[in-house]
Amino acid sequence: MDKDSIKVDLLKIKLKDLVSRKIVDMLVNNELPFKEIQDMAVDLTETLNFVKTSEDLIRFIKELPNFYPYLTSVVQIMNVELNEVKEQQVKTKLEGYFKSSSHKL
Amino acid sequence: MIEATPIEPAEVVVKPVSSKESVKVLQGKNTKLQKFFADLPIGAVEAVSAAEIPQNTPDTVLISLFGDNSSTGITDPVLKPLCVNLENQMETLQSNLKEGSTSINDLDAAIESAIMQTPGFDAEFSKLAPAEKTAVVKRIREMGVQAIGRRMFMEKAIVSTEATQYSTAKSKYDRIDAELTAKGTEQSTLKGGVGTTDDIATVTAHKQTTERELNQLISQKETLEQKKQVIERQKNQQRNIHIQKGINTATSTTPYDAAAGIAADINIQDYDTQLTALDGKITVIDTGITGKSTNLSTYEKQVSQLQRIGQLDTEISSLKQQLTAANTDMLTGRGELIKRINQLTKDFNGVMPEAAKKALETFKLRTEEANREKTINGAEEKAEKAKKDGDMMTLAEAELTKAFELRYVKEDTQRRMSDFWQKRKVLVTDTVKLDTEYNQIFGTAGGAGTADFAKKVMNLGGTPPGTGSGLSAETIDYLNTNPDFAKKLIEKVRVPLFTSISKQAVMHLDLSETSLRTLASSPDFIVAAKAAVAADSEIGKVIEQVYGAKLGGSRNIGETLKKMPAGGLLGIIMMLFGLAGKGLFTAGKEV
Repeated sequence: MDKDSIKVDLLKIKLKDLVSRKIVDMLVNNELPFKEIQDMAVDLTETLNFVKTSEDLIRFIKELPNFYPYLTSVVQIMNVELNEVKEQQVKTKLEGYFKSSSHKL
Repeated sequence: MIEATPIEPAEVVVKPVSSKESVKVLQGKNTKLQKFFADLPIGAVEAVSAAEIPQNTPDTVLISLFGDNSSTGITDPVLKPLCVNLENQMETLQSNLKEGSTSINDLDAAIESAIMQTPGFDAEFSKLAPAEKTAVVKRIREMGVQAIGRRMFMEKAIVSTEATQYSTAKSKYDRIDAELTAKGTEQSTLKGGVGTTDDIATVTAHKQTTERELNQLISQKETLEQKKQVIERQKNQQRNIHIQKGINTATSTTPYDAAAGIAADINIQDYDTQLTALDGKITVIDTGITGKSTNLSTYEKQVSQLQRIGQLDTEISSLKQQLTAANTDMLTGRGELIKRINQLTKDFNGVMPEAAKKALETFKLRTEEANREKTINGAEEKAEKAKKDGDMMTLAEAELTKAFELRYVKEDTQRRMSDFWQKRKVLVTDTVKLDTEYNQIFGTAGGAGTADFAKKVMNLGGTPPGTGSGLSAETIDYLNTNPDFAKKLIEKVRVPLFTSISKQAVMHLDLSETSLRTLASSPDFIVAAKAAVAADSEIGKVIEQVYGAKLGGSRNIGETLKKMPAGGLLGIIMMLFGLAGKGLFTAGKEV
């Protein structure tokens, strides 16, 4: 398993934990009908199966509020978690750029 | 009365497992493992969406509310059956976890990932052989993985409004109960030590009488003391006579003996006698005074105690009323809490069957989508070839087939993230249109119904005929210039169209038994059924199994289907349409 996969796995676990707590809140406070909560849970579980890379995860978090606005708080927390991932992505791209530039030189 | 301060429900605190304990885990000896996994970040998502069900035994609730996490230790007649039931359900639910499902594999991977991040635990885990690792992960999952969901669920139950209200009511009840007990004890002690069975009025009367008598004795004593003083004065006066005489004759030759004179004085003797008598009386009175004083103290104490006992009666009575009210609040609160816990556990309990149903529906829809795509692709290829070959009939048929596949679907707003993710166009069935047109077929006699229906689909009443049916301009042109073509096309397509609409109706409409039998007895359906049986002997065998007797040739299919019970009939129809049995498994693989 490479570093990125491990990081993505951990972030997915974190995400599931946050969503879990929100789900329990919603169930206990009757914020949504059970069926709707279940549909959401099924949908997210299914979609997360396709999330393999950091890019996938960033995209997932970005799209989440469009489908489930009541998970906005989860998105905010995850965005903070993802900052590190995004920074690393930028670094990697820059490194690649410099390598190819120096190679040309 | 001071109001009780609401007591916060006990916070659920879970400490991580130490390395030493984690070793016990690996040896399967750690029964408190669920506490470790309370911090594992996997929870209700899997619980609600998949096969992972949280445990239902409300250990935390039981401990925080009743101080006992064992259902056998609970004696409350309402809660005990609830707790026992929940424990049994937990066992059933855990045993329902199916091996090999995606969600369990996902979960196992997450467990292992979490293990590897736990200092001490990871080192021990790494030493294990692969088979042992698998066994540990499985054991962890089965024992406590949904303790997370359960803990969060129970945390929420504990801090829910119902739990807070119950907890507050119980605290108040306990406080009043304790106060009542204390006062009861005080009263019993007092009653035991008061030393009289008389009531306070009687004792007060005794006290007052004693006081009066005491005062009388004191008064008598004073009178006697005064008398004594008078007599002593008289005695002294008499003595002084003798003493004065002695003084006066002190220098004479015959001085007077005052002492002798005093001793012989009969008046003085009389005075002494009187004084002695008075002293005797005073002594008697003193004894009486002592006695009365003692009695008075006793009565005063008794009065005080009896007053206190009476006051306690009032206080106890008031507390009993308060206790009744607090008990009512507590029972109400407990009832509401039990209802809430029941509702939450019911929701979670319903997850497995609902998830299974959901999975089946999703699977069926996906199957339908795949079949639709396959049919459309097949039709397009057929049309291509027919064009090249100049075969107008086949071309028309293929064009109609494609158009018909899309006749009862409409695009829906993408509400599911997974559809968006997979860039799936979401089509849903227009059940209103489907219902209307399906009923139109069976509004008239079977055969004529499907022919009329085919004409409608082909829009032969349009201007020009065929417009908007999905037929290409070229085919429409051909249709309108060749009089026999339409008739032949109708004959060619009416059964396939009928099969297609019937299949969709069975899948999406809630057909009654009458509708099913009408469908199964229609000539076109029987034609399709016979063809299916002829093409695949397995289908014939399934029909025989459901019917319970040999078919006796495909000619008897119509009769056989008529005699079938409704459930069996529906199953056969679904199978013939490829919606169940053999057909479904084939479609599943294609998905």
